[in-house]
Amino acid sequence: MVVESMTGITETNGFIKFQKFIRLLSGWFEWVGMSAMMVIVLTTLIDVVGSKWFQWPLPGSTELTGVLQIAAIAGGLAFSKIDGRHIRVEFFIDRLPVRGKLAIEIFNSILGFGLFALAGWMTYKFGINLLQSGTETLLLRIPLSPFSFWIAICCIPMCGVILIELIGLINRMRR
Amino acid sequence: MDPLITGIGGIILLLILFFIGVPIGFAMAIAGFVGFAYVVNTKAALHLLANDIFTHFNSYALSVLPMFILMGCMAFAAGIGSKAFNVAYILMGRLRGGLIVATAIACCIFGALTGSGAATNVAIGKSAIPEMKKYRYDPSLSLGALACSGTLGFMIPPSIPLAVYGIITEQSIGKLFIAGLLPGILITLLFILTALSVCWIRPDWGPPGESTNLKQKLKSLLGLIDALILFLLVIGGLFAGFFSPTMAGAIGSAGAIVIGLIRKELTWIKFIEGLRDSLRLSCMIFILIVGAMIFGHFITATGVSQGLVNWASDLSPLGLIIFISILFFILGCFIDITPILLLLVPLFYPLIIKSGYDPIWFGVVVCTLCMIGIITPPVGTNLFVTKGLVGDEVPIATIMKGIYIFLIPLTIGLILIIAFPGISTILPNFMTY
Repeated sequence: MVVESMTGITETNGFIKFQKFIRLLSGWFEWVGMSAMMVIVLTTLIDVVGSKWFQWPLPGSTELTGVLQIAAIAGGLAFSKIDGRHIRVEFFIDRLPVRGKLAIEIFNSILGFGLFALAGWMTYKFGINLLQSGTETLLLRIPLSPFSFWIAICCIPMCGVILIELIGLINRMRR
Repeated sequence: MDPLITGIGGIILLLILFFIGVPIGFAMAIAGFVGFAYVVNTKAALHLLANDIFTHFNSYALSVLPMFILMGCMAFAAGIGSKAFNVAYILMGRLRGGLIVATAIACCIFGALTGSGAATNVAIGKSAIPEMKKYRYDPSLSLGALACSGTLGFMIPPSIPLAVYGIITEQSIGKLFIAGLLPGILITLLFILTALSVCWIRPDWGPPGESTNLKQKLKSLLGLIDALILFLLVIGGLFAGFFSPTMAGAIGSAGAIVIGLIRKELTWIKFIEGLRDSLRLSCMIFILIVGAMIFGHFITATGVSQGLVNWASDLSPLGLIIFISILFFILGCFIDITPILLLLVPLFYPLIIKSGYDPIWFGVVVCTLCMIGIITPPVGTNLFVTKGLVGDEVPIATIMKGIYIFLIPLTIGLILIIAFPGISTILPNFMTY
């Protein structure tokens, strides 16, 4: 079945479902990221209050902050792309004719997709290495491999977002 | 191929990627990855990609950034920006050009709670623009002043560019923050002086507002309590060595949330929006940092940094600073300042140290150059933020005219900061750690 999507581009039902799925997935991951960010604030507060007033700093608070930061930043990756947060120089390509601009945007999306596909694959392999070597944080002994796998998983919606962008651009080019 | 030629080729590839609109963080990662694969080998480049992503996402040193971004977003959601403007307006509004003076002061106050120039611009602009319209201020002068005053968020501590600089150069972020205080106040004063002078020459550009009595003025000062508490808590704690920058950011975020809740300004929706905004902004900055680090590894592998050091070592120390300033200014016209910071500072920092300059002072110089970078067209973040605030009512060229006027005090500020390093270094010298 072929329908007109919100963007005014004719798309198949399957593609719209895929779009919705990626958006939903990105939204869930972003909630994980936001929660992790608040937990960083809480752990730091506990650490400061504990160390300054009760002579009991939170053990391994810097390690906790580090791993929570991975959860936060990787979790927010896809939605930061959907929201168009990544800075780019638009000054020159805005002056190109529409088709020229679309062609360049398609090329850019392919590059972005390639980058995050590679990043996902390599952080997965990196996670396997960490798992095999049993790498943990020094004090709390938190295994690091799940966090590398989390980055790899977060690259999936990121690639999905770029793929949707790419298909949209190709559709516009065809019209 | 000579690695040096490969390095130059990599820089050209990077610039091409920038100018065809590849997001800057992605462009640096792609150019760095391809270049490293060419210079070393593909396997090493693939490992570098994963390692740099994991290491920097996991870096405690970098956690200062999301914490201070969160603090700024929460201070904005708690309505501290509009309160700061109201106080400054009651105190200064009746002067010719008083609204512009109030905007500069309010930006200076809000800048003490956020490290972002754009956030300062939005927080103060939302309150200032309707008043400026009401009193028929010249749109060019008032909006140009707003865009430029917003940059104070960069210099007055906490400061995101100074934190990024501290991370790159491994300098004390606490000292850098404190170093930005006097230069920030100096530039605020220069903005005020410019506004008063222009409105003295052209009174119709900034008519005086309603006058207020002493009682109203004193009462208005109560509106500064929230900002003052947060500032003293965060910067006072840093200055005294009571906590680390990341701790200061987290405490500032929690403080802003508590203030917002007590004042009943921070609703659940505003809280979630602030949290979401800070996470997305942090993600963008982390991708930029990871990209810059990958590109940096490639540049180091080619020996371009050493080549640049050898070339620039012929320059006099002052010539070096002028060269760096011109480079920042030119690139700042086309590229956002964070990537410029991440690209240029690692290249020039060794030369700065070799020339005998104080690294803290250089951080402040770089931060001032960043302030100029975010207002210079065609790619000036604060220019577009101001345009976004005012909508289609005022063309961008009108705002640009005003920006050119306020570029003069900003440039004078830069010259003074370069000529008198004590402005930046006197306060950090009092720090005991």
